[in-house]
Amino acid sequence: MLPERPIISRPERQSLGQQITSGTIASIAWAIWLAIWAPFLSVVFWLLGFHITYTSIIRAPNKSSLLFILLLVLVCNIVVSSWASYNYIRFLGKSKRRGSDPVPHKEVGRFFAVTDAATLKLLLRERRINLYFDDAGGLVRAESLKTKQARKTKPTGPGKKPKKAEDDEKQLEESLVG
Amino acid sequence: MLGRLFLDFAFYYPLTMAWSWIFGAVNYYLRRERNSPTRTHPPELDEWPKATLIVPCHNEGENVRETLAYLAEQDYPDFEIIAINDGSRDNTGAVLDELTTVYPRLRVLHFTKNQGKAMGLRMAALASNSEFLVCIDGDALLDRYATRWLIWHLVTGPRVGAVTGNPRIRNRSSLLGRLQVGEFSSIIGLIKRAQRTLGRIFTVSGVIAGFRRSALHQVGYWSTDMVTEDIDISWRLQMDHWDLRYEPNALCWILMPETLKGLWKQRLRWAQGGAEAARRYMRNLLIWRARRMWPVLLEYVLSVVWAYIMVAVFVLGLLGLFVPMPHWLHVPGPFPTWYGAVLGSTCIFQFMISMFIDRRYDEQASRQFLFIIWYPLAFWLLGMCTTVVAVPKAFMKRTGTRAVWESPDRGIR
Repeated sequence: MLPERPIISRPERQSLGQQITSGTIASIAWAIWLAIWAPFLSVVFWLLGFHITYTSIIRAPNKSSLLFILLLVLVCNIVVSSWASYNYIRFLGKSKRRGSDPVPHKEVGRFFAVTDAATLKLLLRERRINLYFDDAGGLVRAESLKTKQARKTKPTGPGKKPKKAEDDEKQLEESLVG
Repeated sequence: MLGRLFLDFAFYYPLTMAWSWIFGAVNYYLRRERNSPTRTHPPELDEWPKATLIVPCHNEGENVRETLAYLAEQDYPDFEIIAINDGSRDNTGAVLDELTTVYPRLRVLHFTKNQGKAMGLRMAALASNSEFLVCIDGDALLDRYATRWLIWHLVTGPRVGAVTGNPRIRNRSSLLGRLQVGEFSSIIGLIKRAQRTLGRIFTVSGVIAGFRRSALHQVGYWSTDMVTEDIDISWRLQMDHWDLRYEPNALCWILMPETLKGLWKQRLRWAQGGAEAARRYMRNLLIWRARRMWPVLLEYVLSVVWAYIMVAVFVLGLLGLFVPMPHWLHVPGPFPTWYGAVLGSTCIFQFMISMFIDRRYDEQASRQFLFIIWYPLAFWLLGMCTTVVAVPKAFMKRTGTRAVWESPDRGIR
């Protein structure tokens, strides 16, 4: 049975360099983090930093006042929630556009310039295939590793004999040739 | 004057975004998540269609056995697995060939040369016997019920082109690993939920996403010349009016970098991917028919502007410490305390909300939060640095250059 949560946690496998780098980064980040909290921390350490609280919060520039930020947060909420609700009501369970029919294999093959039914069948059925490309990324040859029988992507002749369930094969043959 | 304007934007943009994500995520939770069935009891369908599970692999010899073991255990009635060995130089090909004898549902496509992930996905779509594709990375472990959750959306929503799942970080040995646990829960999960309620998603997660093949066919499948094929396909599907969804119950356990270099490279690639998509599709998006994508585009453009303004704020603030600055360029120090305290409070609130919403998917994640409570600030700084470097890179890149694999850092094992 495979584990449901395949988590890897092996801190002991870090190199000394990695441990030192991580420790340094974390320390710097914590220092910056605490520094940006100085105005709020200073409320706790009132005597030590009254002027920071005073200048940063009470006398903060008007535009950055708490009220303005709260207003911004409120606007974000109204805009995002309204648009989300509009989308939800307008599109839930409704499709404004039609879906598309599945693309036949032959069509897909044509897109990739594989027009030969036998090659297409090889690509759809064989389990181990070698693919060869030209410099422009065009598929030039497909080769089944089982049979080692090479197929050029241009039409060359009849396909191989069906191997799997006959009905399935017949259907596939028809879709590729028809 | 200009300095003050910069500082205000540098402060109000992340504040506005953080609160928008919080309210969007809460809305999603209340409307779609709170009363939904639990992860192990996905909704039922009368008939489950055949699904193709696709795993592109490049040098994944160490991981692919575990990946395929999880795929083979999917609680889903009818599926095939297509693994792509994309010109691997290790034993990936041999391992995959061997596994075809173990798992009858497994099929393997071998590329003789490295063609890139997008080409792997394209060929898998060509070789697929199904209309529904579930794509994961070669080192990702798909939760047993994830396929049902993803396919359910694709079957019940005829205009759903893709569904993205919920990646969870496996490796939590180091500080960087734990940081990313917090990031995926408190930031990425929140953003995806908010974007889902607002109607458009910036990107599906390339590491776990379900697709409708006919939708991919209409937009021309994955592009082979974009560094992040997931952002590109998400934008193109939505530009073609396909709906993209987020399904938090579709879990996928992933490995992330645990070195600074690895993390930087990965995030730089992500940032470059966004910039490449913006560069390529900007013109197509500025039309009335594409108006629903405007918020996504606007958010992206503002995030780029913000990144450069932040750099300006830092530079002006630091200069101001040593050189007398003209009044109009004056910035009151690089770490203004009032702004910082407000952003700090927002971070704590964001973490509390995400801990509450996320607890049903990953109980252990909340243990990490106390140690990394400052992470949202680091997230914004990392975003700033990667954007500043990635945008010029993306705009100077020659179009049509094939994006091929680079093996990422996968952390401590």
